Amino acid sequence: MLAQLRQTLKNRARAFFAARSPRSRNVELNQRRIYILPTPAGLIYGLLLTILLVAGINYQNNLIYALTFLLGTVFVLGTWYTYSNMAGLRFSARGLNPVFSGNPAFFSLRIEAPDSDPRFHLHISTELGEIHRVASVDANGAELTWSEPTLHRGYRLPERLTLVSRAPLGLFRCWAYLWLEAKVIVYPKPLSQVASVMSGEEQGARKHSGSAQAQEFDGFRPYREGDNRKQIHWPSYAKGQPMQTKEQPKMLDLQVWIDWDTFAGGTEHKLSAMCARVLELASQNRRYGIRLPGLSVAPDRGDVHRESCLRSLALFRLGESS
Amino acid sequence: MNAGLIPRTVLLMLFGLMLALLVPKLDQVPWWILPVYAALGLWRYQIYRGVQGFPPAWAKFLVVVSIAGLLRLDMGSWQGLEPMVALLLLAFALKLLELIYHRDAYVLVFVAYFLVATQFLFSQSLSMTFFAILEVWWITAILMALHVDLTVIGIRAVLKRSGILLAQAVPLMLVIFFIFPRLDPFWAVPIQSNSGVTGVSDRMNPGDIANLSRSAQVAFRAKFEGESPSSRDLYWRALVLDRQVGNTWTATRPQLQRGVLDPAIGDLSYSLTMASSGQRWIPVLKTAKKVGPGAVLTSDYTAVAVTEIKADTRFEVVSELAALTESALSGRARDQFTQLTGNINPKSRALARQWLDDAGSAKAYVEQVLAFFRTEPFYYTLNPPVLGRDGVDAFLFETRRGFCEHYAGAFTELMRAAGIPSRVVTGYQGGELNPLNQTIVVRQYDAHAWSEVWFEDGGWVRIDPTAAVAPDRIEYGLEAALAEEGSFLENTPLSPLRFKDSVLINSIRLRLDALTYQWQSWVLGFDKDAQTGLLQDWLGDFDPWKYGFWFALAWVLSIAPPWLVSQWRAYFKLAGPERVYLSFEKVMRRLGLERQLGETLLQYRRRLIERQPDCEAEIADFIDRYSDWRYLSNRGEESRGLVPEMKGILREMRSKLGK
Repeated sequence: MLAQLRQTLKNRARAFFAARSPRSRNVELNQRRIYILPTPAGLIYGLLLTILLVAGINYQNNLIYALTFLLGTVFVLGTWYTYSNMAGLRFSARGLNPVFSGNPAFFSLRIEAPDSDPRFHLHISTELGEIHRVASVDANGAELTWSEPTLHRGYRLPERLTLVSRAPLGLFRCWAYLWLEAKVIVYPKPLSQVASVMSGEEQGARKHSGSAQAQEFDGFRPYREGDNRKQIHWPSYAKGQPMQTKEQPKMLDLQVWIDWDTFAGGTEHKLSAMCARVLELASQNRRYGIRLPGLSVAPDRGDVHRESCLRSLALFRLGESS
Repeated sequence: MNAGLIPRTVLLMLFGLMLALLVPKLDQVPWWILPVYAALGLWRYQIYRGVQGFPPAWAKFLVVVSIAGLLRLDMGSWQGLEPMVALLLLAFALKLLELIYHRDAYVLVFVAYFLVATQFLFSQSLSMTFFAILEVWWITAILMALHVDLTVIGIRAVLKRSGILLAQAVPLMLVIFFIFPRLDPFWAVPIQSNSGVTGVSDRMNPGDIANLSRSAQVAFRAKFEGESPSSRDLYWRALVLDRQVGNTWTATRPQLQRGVLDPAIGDLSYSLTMASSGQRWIPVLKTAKKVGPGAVLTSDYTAVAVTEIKADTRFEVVSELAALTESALSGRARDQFTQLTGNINPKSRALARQWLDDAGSAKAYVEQVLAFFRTEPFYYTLNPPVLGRDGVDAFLFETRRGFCEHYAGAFTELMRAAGIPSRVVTGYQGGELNPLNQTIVVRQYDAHAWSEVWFEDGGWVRIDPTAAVAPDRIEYGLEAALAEEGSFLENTPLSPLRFKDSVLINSIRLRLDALTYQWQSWVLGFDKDAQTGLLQDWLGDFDPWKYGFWFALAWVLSIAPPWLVSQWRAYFKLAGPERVYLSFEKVMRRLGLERQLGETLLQYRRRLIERQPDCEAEIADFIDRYSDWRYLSNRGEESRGLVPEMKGILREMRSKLGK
């Protein structure tokens, strides 16, 4: 019951803060976004002020009064100082390289100070509790990288970042929530065991099994510089013979279609399987293309092609599945 | 952040703070605190250097217990302020020993702030205030240094920032200080139990006042309403010693003044600011009619405070110099004032009886005794020889060297031996008039003892036998009286008081003293009444709006300067031509001709000329000069003549455009 209430309150608070700071590409901190409360040290400082005031009253000591009021005013000014340490800072984020679902997605955060006055001790924590400490930000700005876990393919937007600072007095804690616009593409998680239904997958002569490194080969030829190390016939080299390269079967030039229809299971399962297949074929440096309902990528090879295939898989029917 | 480690620079600053906190407290804490404090500091310094490790828990426990035990043994109780201060100081040093994390530093910083406040319980002098400001600055800098990146801004910048912060706090602090209602104490507070007792005491042995006279410490300051009396009238009566016990004169317990005194007839009003003495007497001029607040008059017309004077305290007194006192003495009082310890000083007592017979009247007898002091070779000296059991005999007939207590004691003995009621009075004589603020500063070396003799027709009359021996003492003070001997403040060769001959040093000294008095009287005198009066003067009747206004003004004064500085700093960082150019853009903006984002100067110039053909020449000239300076010249070199020229063009343009 209590836990439920707490959860409700937490959600309410979250919604409240979220409404005050909508997600955007650049965030500049201002009084709308910065919240401030005394720290435990600040509360003890308040207690000290009370004790001093009582001492001033009881001893009828004007200088203790004066000290109390001086420290009290410092306390009040502390709010302004702590606020100024954060106000005006600009934040922007961008997503880094695409990742496979299940691996952490990395984002890069850029912090810029509006003037040459350095800002101190910013603590940036993610929803997962990852804490980054930035000792100071001056006119050159600062940069840091943080990660978010991924569960689904598609676009990964960063979760809320919490920015906290107690500088310069430690009596107050200023904080702000950052919902930044940035994207990391998350590929489907490749299935570890590709139970691929091979039927009709490979077009053209199927005289060699496409899976795994071909055991069969056409013959040997003398090693030439630049030959793939996997294709060197090591047993003969070990026997002291000159290095020889296994000739690849001609079928490598045959193009492979990875076809949506040939995979079984639900959408995500199919995509995962296709992803695994893409990786496999790419590692064999073969020409492949993918066919998805309403979308196909023509066969090709190379890293750029691989990326675009994976990307289509990642973003396939994003509206429905997520 | 709480788990953050302490930067090493902050540690060094804390060592400095340790010293700064100890120095003003040296008078109040037991001497052994010093080595303990130093040892703890050294231990921490060794940890800092990496030579030693942090102490294990049992060692810390042992140190705490033994120190607390020592403190309890030495101070006798936990009551009072000094044990608390000593404990806090030791707690500070001990906490330093286990200082690792930020939260430890917070504890230290807060204890340090509190220790600064406790300093004011012992002294509220100007110098202490000044020192405390430096301490608060230092502590605030430490607090700030914990939260900034010391690799980016150095410790000097931190000191600057914390200094600005404190300066900013001043306006609001002052407003609160004046407005905050002065409440009555919530409960009775413990005061110092055994702080140094200074000044004359209720026992006078030969040599006591001579010892006191080696100190240049301020005993009190006095300010008269109107003209100050001349130095020879300034006999500040502190205590009446009416009982002789061997060579010692002591005071019986004073009785409260019962007679109704009419303060209206007092002709001398003055305020006394007493330095902490640890005693209750208040030195007042004869005959005190009224004293307050927190003090009462005794039947001897001396004044005592209700509690020991443990801090600088102010009293208002009304006296009448010429007033007569008791014209009659009861039999009991007569016995009391002719009491003598039996069987000592036989020679003196015999002499006294003989002289009284010769003289015939009490007055003539007094004259004869004074003449004896004047004509016989008596010396006034700070270093009198030690006297035996029959002190007065030895003094009068053998050594003949003494300080005022010797003369006062011997004189009173001679009076009492002749059956004339008399008593010893101790207090202070004279004082230095500061011409700048017309206050009289009385120092410990002005301590004095004299006699009072009761006559049938005149009541108690003051008779100062020292004046017979060393008239300079009364007219010009101790320094002149001891000029020949050279013993004035001989133990403190660097005291500024020894350099009164130097005009410059003397004037600086007097000025400082005037300032000190001003400060003291102001700080001590600002109580509930003073506050009400001041607020009435400034703000008139109570009106929340006025108070609100002052708060708001103080707040603006606190916040505005740094904000303005940050705004203007950007502007003043610009070179001269850039500033003129900005005002040019301002003029154009008013015409709706703002420079667009990404528009080059040349494009802007073309557009402006298109829109403002009347000013073609000026616009072209202005922008050309600016862009030449900006892109062609070696910047800064040519800008000297350029700025006025550009300004001239801008002026012409303005008049043409009618803006």
